[in-house]
Amino acid sequence: MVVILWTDGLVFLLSGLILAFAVYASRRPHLSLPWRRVGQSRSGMISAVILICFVSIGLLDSFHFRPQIAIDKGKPIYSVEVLSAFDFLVETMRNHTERTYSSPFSAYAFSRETVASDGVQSRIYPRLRYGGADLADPGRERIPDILKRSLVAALEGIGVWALLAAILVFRHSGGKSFPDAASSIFRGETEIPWNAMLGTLLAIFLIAFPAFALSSHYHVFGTDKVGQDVFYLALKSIRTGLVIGTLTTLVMLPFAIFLGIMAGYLGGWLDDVIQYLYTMLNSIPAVLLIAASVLMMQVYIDAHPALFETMAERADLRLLFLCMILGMTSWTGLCRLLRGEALKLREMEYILAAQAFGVSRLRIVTRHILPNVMHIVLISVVMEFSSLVLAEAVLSYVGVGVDPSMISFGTMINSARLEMAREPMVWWPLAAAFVFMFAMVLSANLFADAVRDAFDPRTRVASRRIPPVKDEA
Amino acid sequence: MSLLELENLRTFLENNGNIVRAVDGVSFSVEKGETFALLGESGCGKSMTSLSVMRLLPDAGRIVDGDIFFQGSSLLSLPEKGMRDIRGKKIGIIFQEPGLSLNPVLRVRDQIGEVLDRHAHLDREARNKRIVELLDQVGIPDPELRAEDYPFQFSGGMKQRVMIAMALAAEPDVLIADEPTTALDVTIQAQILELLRSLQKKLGMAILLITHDLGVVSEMASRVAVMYAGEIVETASRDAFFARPAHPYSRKLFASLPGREKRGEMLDMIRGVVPPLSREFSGCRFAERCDHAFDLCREVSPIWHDSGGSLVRCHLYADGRPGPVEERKVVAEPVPRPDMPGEILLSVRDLSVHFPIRKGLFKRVAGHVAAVDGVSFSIAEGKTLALVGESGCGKTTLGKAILQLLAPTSGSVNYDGKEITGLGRRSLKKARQGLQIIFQDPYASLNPRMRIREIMEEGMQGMGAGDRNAHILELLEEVGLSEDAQYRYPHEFSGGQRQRIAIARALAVNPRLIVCDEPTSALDVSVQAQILNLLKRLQADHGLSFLFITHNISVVEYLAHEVAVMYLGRIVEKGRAEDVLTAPAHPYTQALLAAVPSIAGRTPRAMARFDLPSPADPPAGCHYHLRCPHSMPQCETRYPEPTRLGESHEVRCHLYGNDTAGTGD
Repeated sequence: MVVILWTDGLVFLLSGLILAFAVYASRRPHLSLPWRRVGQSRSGMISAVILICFVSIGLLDSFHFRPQIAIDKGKPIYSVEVLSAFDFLVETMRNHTERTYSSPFSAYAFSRETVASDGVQSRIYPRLRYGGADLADPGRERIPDILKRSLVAALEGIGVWALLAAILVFRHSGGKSFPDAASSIFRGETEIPWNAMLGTLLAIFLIAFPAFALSSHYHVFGTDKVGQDVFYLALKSIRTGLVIGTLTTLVMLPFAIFLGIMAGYLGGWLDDVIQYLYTMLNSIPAVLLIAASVLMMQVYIDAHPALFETMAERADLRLLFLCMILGMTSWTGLCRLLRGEALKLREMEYILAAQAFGVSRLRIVTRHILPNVMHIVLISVVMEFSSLVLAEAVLSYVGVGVDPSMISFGTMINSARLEMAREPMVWWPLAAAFVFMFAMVLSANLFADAVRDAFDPRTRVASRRIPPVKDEA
Repeated sequence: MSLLELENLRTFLENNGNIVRAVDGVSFSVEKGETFALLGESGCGKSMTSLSVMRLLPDAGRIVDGDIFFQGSSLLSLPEKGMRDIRGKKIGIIFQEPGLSLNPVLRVRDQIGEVLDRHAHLDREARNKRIVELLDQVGIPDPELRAEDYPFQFSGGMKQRVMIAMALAAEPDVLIADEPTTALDVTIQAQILELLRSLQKKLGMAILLITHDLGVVSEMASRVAVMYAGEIVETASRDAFFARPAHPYSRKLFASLPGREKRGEMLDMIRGVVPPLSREFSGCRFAERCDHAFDLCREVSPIWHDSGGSLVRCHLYADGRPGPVEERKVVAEPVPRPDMPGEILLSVRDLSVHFPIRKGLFKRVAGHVAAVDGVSFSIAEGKTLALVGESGCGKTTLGKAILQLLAPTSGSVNYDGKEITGLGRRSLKKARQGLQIIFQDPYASLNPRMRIREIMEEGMQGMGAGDRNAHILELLEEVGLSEDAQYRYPHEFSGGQRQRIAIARALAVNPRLIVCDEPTSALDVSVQAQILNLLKRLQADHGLSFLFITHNISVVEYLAHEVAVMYLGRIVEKGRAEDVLTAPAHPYTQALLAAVPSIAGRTPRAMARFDLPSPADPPAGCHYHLRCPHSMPQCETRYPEPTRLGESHEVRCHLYGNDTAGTGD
């Protein structure tokens, strides 16, 4: 049974909007020109490749369903557990739960347990149920086994990559011979830095293929307190981060755009009211506001258990609500920017000319002002994304973020913090969360920089420095 | 040995991978004590030449060839440190925009002191004395007190004086003046030019004057070089140049100047625009715009020829040939002028626009700026009324208030027999069909995100789709643009083309009156001629009325039927163009007309003293009395009533009132 959670629906809506905009913009040179400039930026395209990998995982993780477990009198009975297409793909990882902590690639549990065998009790490190379970002598065979499996997977990865590269070269040959086209791509002579993108893709494949191949026999990032595979948790966290980062802006944009443009364009007492509103909102600590609202929401959810069929729905509603709260507190910055811009545009002569034609205010706002502030909106949305992902981690750590049952970077860090004090230290859950979040936020930041450079006319400078005037005679 | 000598200078700029040949083989020399003018339209590489001399090119710029000699030694071989001893000390520079050339957070004393500290090494007392002396030299009143002021406390003209004082602080041998008066009003321009002339006489320095204004060249220069598309095409002494310009381009520049003697005929204009310098050239760069071009021009770049009096790069002077033969149009294309006394289309009575000055925490109204203060005039059908005045006198505000883009404080605007002030949005919409506006800046007046078609459709909401298509094509043809222009975006057009689009947009609703707010002041002379011709033809074809707001007197002389002179929010003189321009009555009009630099050369003139006072705090009595050479006691107490001088000539000045024996100058 297909389940569409609230956030799923909104994620699909957003993807649809982005696709529609892409089609619309590709026909209009003034809209597609800055994107072409993004396409020419090396760091921008490298980070875009990484982001696309994250986004595909997030999207796969947004197709939810409830598997059928039995048929009772012709009526199917569905599991109460909501799974996603991604869960289905990495089923082994999801099901390979140990009893408790185990370190990465280990075949033994992390702590001694008392085990009775043949009537003799002994305290040993027991073998794991899944991690390296098919090895007879892990001490000797484990490392060669890992190397062998990674090598095979890496070769597979290279194969797939070569296939993709060949398709790309073929599509770009355009009259040239295949080797010529290939060399022009690999020497970076193309407009879009395909060589950098292919290089990034190769690096991703060389890491991802072995990691997935190994994950069915080992716990690549170990297991956590209740024995869940940390690699699986980190991958699942991606969706939560993306949802927070994107849906929040969806909530924030209408406020920021509507109020900002109204304040700037109409001015007068409306401007005063809106300014006071965001100045006031800005002076309340956001965490306080968020904590209060989330706790209120939690009380509501707890008081109405009948509203939710599954755990996932409860958790999802809280996630959505968190997005809304974050959106409500973060629109002020963009709103202030847009007010200033609208104030400037209001005096532009093309707006006066439109007024001289008797064009209505609404049309002036939608046809003249809005398109001319969209670059600011876009830049700030892309910049905001990474800070929202980080905000989620902080809020969940504090305990006012997502539902504890929802897997996110914040909940991972929260559950890992106590283990940092253990001796020997349990470092892997935190490290996994850190690595994934770092990769995602860094690539989002780099991409945002590329977008800003392409859209902001002021940052465009000479393509390269000119050498000094003349050598000294 | 020349003071400053450029030898085959080539400066290239790099722009998105394109090479822009901003200066392409320029040679000239400036002698001691002379004024050498570099004349050309925008985009010809004049400023890049001056920045190359100072070695202050932008990051993207680079001198690729040639050399610059100052007193015989090469500037390009100097290290940066040595160059710093040249800048300011040997070669000073003043820029176009005085507001942007001074640091707003430094006192004037400190900014001038900076130059002195670098080049003069004076002790504290001598330094202060020198600063005051410099400010006094450039004609700043109360120099001791003013030295302590910040730039924002100075007016535009005063800022330019401070800039000149700074440039002169270390007594340079050469002063580069890069469009020094372009951003200033004519009256202030006349003051600054006068100042430069007297300083030159006193200090004996050479001036390299960079300008696009033939009038300024005529008043200032001793020698002239005409620059076109990165090259110098003609050099001559001032007298030879103005007596007989040799190059076809120079001749066209003269011919496209509007003026009184050209009323009633179309202006001669140069086809097209200055070619982009990122292009490869073969042959003469002016060939494609030249009426006299022949095959050789398109193939071989001309070398220097002597035309008798001037050196010129044109094939028409090769082997002692006489140059282009002017097939002087015997009968200039006549412009049919509807001379019937048309119906009054627009009449404005006692219109005022006051802006409140708000102060304090609760934004209490502390006073008013009377931007427009009781203005009355009327425009007849098919006529042009020119509204003239310095910047800040309220011309633009008045234009906007007539179109109800600003709410007037009081007074009435009567269009076609109907009162349009205080109308609601809906009823106003109807009136607006007949009233349209064209703005000064063609870059700000078109929405960059809309295609030309969408821009033009904006006002045509009521029409059917079929009509609209045909109408758009008709309009584009009317303003001289091709059909496919409608699917392009504004950034693909040049300034002149954009102004045509703006005109087409205004015409789209079939208006009867168009307010033209300085429509040509952002354009080059040759493009200005194209636009003026277009406006004139439209008036003849459609019987349009224009309210032409401008500060350019020669445009007024060329175009206007009636003139109204505005000073600090009030009209001080109005009447038929012939009356006002040939026999100006008000001292302000006289000063304004006298200040216009004329290509006929230097003439002694009645100059307006000082700057325009602030409209927030106008002087008591007649607003002009502080600057007026004929100021009388009653001028300080009472604003003069209008006095009729002729059938339509009216002036507000005590010189002509009944209570005094008016002398009329």
